[in-house]
Amino acid sequence: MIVLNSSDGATFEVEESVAVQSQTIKHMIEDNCADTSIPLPNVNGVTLARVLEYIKKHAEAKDDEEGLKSFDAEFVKVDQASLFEIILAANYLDIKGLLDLTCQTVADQIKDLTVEEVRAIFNIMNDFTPEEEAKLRNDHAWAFE
Amino acid sequence: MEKEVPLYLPEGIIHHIFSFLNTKQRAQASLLSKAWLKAWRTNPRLDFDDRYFHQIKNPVCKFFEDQRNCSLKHPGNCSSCEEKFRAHVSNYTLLRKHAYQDHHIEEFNLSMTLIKDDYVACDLINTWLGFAVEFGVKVLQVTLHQGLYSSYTLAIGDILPKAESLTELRVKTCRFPMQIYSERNIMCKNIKVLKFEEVYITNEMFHCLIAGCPSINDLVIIDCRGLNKIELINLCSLKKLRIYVKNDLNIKVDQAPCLENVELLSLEWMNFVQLGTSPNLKSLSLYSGRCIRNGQLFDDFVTKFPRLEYLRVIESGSFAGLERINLTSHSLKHIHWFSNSETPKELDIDAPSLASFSYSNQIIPNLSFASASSNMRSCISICCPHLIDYSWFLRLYKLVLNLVPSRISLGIELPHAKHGFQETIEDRLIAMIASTCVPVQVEELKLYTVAKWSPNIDEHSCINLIDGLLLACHPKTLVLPKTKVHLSAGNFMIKYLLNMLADRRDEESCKSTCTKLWQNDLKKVVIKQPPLDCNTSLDESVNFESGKMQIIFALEWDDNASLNSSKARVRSRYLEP
Repeated sequence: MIVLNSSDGATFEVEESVAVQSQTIKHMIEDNCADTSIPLPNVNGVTLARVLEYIKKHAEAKDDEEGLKSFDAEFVKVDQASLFEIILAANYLDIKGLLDLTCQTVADQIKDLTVEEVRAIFNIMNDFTPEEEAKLRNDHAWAFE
Repeated sequence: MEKEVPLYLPEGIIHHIFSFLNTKQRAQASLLSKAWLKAWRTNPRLDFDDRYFHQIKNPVCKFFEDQRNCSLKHPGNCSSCEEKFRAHVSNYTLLRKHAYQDHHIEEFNLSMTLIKDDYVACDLINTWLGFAVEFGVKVLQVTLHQGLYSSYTLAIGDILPKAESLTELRVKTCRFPMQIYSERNIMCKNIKVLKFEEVYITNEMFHCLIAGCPSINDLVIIDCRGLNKIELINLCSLKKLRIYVKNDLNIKVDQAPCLENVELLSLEWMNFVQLGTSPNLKSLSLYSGRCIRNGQLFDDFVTKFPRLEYLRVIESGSFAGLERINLTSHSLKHIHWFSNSETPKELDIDAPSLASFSYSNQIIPNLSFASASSNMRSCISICCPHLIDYSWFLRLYKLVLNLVPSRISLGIELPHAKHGFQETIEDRLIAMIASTCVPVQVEELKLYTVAKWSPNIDEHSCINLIDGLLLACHPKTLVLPKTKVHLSAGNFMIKYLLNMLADRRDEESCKSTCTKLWQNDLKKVVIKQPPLDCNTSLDESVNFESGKMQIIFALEWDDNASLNSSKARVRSRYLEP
């Protein structure tokens, strides 16, 4: 069993065979940095719990394609802030499947919305001046046909 | 309410999100904020596709659409759209070069349209490719839409020696130069994937190139003029090979120990195909537009391809190929053989691991199976010849017998108008079959017709055909051809069967006298499709949806009547070789 410590002090226990889905954790174990517990200062407790939910499910139901598909679909039904927290965690922990799933989800959302709508939903600050934005729109006119 | 923190995503993640969007969507997303714009400008995967620059509704732009479909020669010009595209690519690459040198490129995809003698474009493309190579590109894909003239010559002499990082090169509709003018040989030690589609390349150029790609893993050649003789020798890493030529296929493959998957297709003959020993070959597919005549292809699978699991042979021409095929393999799991001619006449198969065997032909071959097991599924499709006589039935019966105890699915293509005049099937045939054949249990008997041709067999012969088939085999499922017409408008075969089988639908009628010999053995009939109540009367008043209706019966036969019975003495007569 491996013990993981989140940034806000929460501890989680997980089987080593499950935890190694995270390449980061895997390397730490191999390099013997995991004597007592592994500190993960970049991931808070709530997010870490969700990530563990994902990797546990993917470890136990490995061959059940249909089951995993529906699990994944439900898994990403979270608010924007949480989704991005999971993306950052998946990136830091280097869990390819989770990173692909979450980035695909964001991409699917971006596809159908206008620039303004995406900014609003994802809380992205528009730091272009009106002139800069107008010029960009002009240069990229072909993408807005 | 909490103040929401504005979103911050590291550039690498934005790049990852970009990988799930297409070119147009990425360009839109670049407007979100400065961070997203920078991510767009430093994206390691670049996609330049001129289709976004042409307005589809503009009829002038339609010329370029047509060029893509290779249908127009000339003239037409919506050069303004094409110019905008080229300016876009040039600006992007120049900016990247000057402002973001530290950001490497992983993928560079270019898809654009050239018109004849568009030399300016050719120079531009060479510049862009040079830029991609300079920035460490790994995956390079160039697709040019050129109509009938492929005027672009890939600057291979310049690009490849410098493209150390290149692992995948996919090119469509280009010309390769006739020779390399530099003294060094081409050496692309990292190239793993090569795909040439509609590329003009000479034999010498191709072999020179291949000799310089020792790491090649996956090779695809589709319709490349100029290449008429291929020799792939000593390619230690080659795993997948797919070659598609319009003309005769002349290929020799040897010393490729990692080869797993080979797919060869020729619209013409396949006479000069030599495959050396490949200990890891799992799948072999051969398609010939005419036929395959080199017998040594199928020799000695045990030593040559000890791990072969999947064999697929398709001869779609009506030329006579090999008369006799002998296949011995311990590893083969699936065989799929389709032929459109009168060959092979004899097929000897010894493959104890076989899980599925599919065979489709005009004629019934002499099939001998050294080791059919009950785990195997056999799927046979035979066309009715224009004369159906006792010997035809006997051959069919022997074929099915040789496939026992596998689970057999037998498909009979009914004679149709394209074959011309159909001889009638004689009545005495039925008595002959009944007296000599002990019916074989099969999973499925499927009667079908080829799409647009309606069956041209007369009523009486049709009835004899069905009777004969049901005397030779007892199917658990009987599938009738799709009917396009109202039942009452007469598809007499269906009517006939419905009536015959309707009589067996309940216990009571089973006891009544039967008009047909095979009806004796029938215990129970259920209409599987369409789902009809057993008591529905199946007469003209039943109205089927036109076009798609296909009637399927589930039949239960009396076990004693079939091959498992005491009539084994008769059976043994046919199992003797």
